[in-house]
Amino acid sequence: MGLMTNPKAQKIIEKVVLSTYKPLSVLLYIGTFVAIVIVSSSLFSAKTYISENALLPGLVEKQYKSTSDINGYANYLEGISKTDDDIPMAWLQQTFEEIGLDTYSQNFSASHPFLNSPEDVRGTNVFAILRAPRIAGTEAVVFSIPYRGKALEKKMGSTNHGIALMMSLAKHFIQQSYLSKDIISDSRQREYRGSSLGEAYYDTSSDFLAKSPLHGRSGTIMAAINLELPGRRIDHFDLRLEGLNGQLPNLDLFNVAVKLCEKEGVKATFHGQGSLTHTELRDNYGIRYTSKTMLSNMLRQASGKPHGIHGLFLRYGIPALTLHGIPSNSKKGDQSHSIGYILEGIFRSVNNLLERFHQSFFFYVLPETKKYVSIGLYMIPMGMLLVIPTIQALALWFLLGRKSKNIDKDEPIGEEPKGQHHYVIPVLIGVHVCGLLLYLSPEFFVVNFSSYFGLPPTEALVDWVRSCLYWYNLITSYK
Amino acid sequence: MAGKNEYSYPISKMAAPCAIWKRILSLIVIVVLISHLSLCSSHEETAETFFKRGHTNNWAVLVCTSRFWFNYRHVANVLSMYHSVKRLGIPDSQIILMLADDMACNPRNPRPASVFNNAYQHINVYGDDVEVDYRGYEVTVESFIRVLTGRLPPSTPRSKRLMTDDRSNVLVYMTGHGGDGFLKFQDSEEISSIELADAFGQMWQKRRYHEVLYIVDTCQAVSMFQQFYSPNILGVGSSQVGEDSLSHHVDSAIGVYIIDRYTYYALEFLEKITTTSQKTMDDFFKVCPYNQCHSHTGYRTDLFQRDISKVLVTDFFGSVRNVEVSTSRLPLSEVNHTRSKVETKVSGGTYYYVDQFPSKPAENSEDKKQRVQFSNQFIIANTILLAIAAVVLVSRR
Repeated sequence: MGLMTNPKAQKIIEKVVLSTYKPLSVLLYIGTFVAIVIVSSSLFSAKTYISENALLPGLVEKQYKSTSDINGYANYLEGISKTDDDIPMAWLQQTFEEIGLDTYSQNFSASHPFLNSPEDVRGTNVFAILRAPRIAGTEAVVFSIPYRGKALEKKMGSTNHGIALMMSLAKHFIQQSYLSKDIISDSRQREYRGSSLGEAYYDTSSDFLAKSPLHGRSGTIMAAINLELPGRRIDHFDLRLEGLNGQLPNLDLFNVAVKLCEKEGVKATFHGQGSLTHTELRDNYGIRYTSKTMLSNMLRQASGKPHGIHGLFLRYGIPALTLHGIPSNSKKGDQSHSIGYILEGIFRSVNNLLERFHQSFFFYVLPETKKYVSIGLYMIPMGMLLVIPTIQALALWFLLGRKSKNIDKDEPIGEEPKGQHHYVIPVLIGVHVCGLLLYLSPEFFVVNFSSYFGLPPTEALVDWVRSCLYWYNLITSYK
Repeated sequence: MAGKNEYSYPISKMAAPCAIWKRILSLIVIVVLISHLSLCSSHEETAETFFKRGHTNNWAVLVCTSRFWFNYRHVANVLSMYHSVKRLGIPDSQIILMLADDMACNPRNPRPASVFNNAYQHINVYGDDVEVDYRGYEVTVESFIRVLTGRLPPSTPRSKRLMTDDRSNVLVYMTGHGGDGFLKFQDSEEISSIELADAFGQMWQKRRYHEVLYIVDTCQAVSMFQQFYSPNILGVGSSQVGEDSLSHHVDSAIGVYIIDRYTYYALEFLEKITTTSQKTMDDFFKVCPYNQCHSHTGYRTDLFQRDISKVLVTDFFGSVRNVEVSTSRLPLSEVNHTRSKVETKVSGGTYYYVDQFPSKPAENSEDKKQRVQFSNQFIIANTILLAIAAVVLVSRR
């Protein structure tokens, strides 16, 4: 007899599991949290590095010079946003065209039964494309800046200065000859709602979103940077990575942004935590700060809500992150040139690329800006957590097979226990296989057979589930 | 010596009355004789030294194997060597230049139509007089080996052929990304050191070179020429096995690393070489010590017949120019115009080339020591599997 079906061995396993499963579960549960905290500390987490050789961040000299136009644009936009909630479409289009970019706009209206407001959400987006002079324009980089009207500005902070900086940068880039990718400036309303560049570009159809077609396009989008700049001067940049359903951009893009911010002397933080200072490190390897940041990151990923409108790009396989500027207390000083350098540097790094971001990690959590914890490492506490329901289920199974609830009163060894409860592992495997087949079958059925019966997919699915239930009843009642 | 017979006049016995004149005349005759003899011998010597070097023409094969914008420095390496070699006299018809990517017209190049090799001097090494023979996707392992061995389709133009003979000295320079025993071509394939050794072996069997100088500037460069077995090859590598060859400096205006260390210092050395320079290969091998290169250069001379301290750098980098202007006559032996009928006896049997010099005993002892080796993970996994199977078997009883 085999190891697993030998009743003697089974008794031993049963006894061990039933006696230890409660304390073991509690222990593993606590152990998971301890493991998360330990893994986030600087002892175990690894230093970030630029994985893609082609990026060469910060190697090229800075060439951008911030001009006085920025103030003009910013003042005009501030004036508009004080009075009106709507995007100054005509002015934006005119300004971009004066600079020399191809400008396109798109109207959209979204309505969904779950939306708070009864009326539709309407808006307009403005996309301006800077065509690279020496190449066919098969690839593009997006600089996205949300336009916030009066209402949104109060809630989320203004971004007028960002739009002004974008225009100034466009004026700089259009004179350069080293562009290998087009630059798309994306200025859109209504934050998370409505149509973003992804929907416009790839022409997705949805029952809830009506949009006008986008007449002009560039190539495939290689990266997208979302800039939220509240004013001329910021205290520091908060980098935001989490997208819809916890999707993350490639870690290389984040590392490039951090490196360039450091080069310019602008502090970069992630969930409020920059790179650990020496004083923080001395305090128990900085566990307090790193675990807080990491847990905050995990919570954000788990919630599924994007942390910035860059999340709308991630759905389309476009690595994107948000540079959120925290306003500074001092009113003096102009940091436009530093921020311009950072954006120019990020663009020049992405400009060097020939392939999409694929070298660095896609699944990670960050305890600080200079360290990362890849999925290989945070799978350990996750695995510990998953052992708990498994042993609980096993214990329940054993308990069900007993006549008495008393663990000590064993059934005599040698007697075949009643019922079919002694084949544990094969049944477990069989159940999982059945579950997998059931999971895959509706799609299979709907794709292959629904046309024969002339049913629309939703009805076909209901019929399939009903028929499965009938079959199950038949089989179980046959015995 | 033929000249001696011609000019040894029999000293005739002259009349006694002019005894002093006789002596003076004889003295003069002896002086003339000796001077003639010495002149003959010097002519003979110059005639001999003309052929002593062994080669009569120079060729160069310069290969850059990597593409992509961040490998700008490999293209700059090869183009700089190309200019050095051209300056020292090798004509374009005898240079095969292979560039795997076009950096000058890359849209990322902020200085279009130019390739620089130095951040401060701004020497443009890509100009009007650069003839690229193999470009872009034509640079593959197959085309490189075909060029070396001469096995090209009949439609190949002359500019793409290496038309060397057994009196040609060939300079082969390769740069790119390499590893232990291989060199990466075009990001998709590799040439192994054994393939390269066989290519040179074929070249030797077809008498396609007289001497070869093989320079390689990659990571773990020395491994590329460790497998060579054909004679008359000198090998120089920029780093040992397990070491990386490093780049020299960044040009911040262009935003890439612009040249590699070994090539930078080798070019510094070559800039001082002229066509009449007497610097030897010994001096060339001393280029780029560890404190400059940050890697240990290696070289191989065991396959080479001559003493490297007597081999001139211009034997490989320059073109042969032996022009000796002399106003005196060169003595030549008389040509025998009568043709004698020589009966040739043809013996049955196969003909074969005679070895040019005694062949070395085959070093095959290492091949027989081949053992099949398993990796550690395989062994561990197998023992675990076997242990589980044993436990299961035992428990079944």
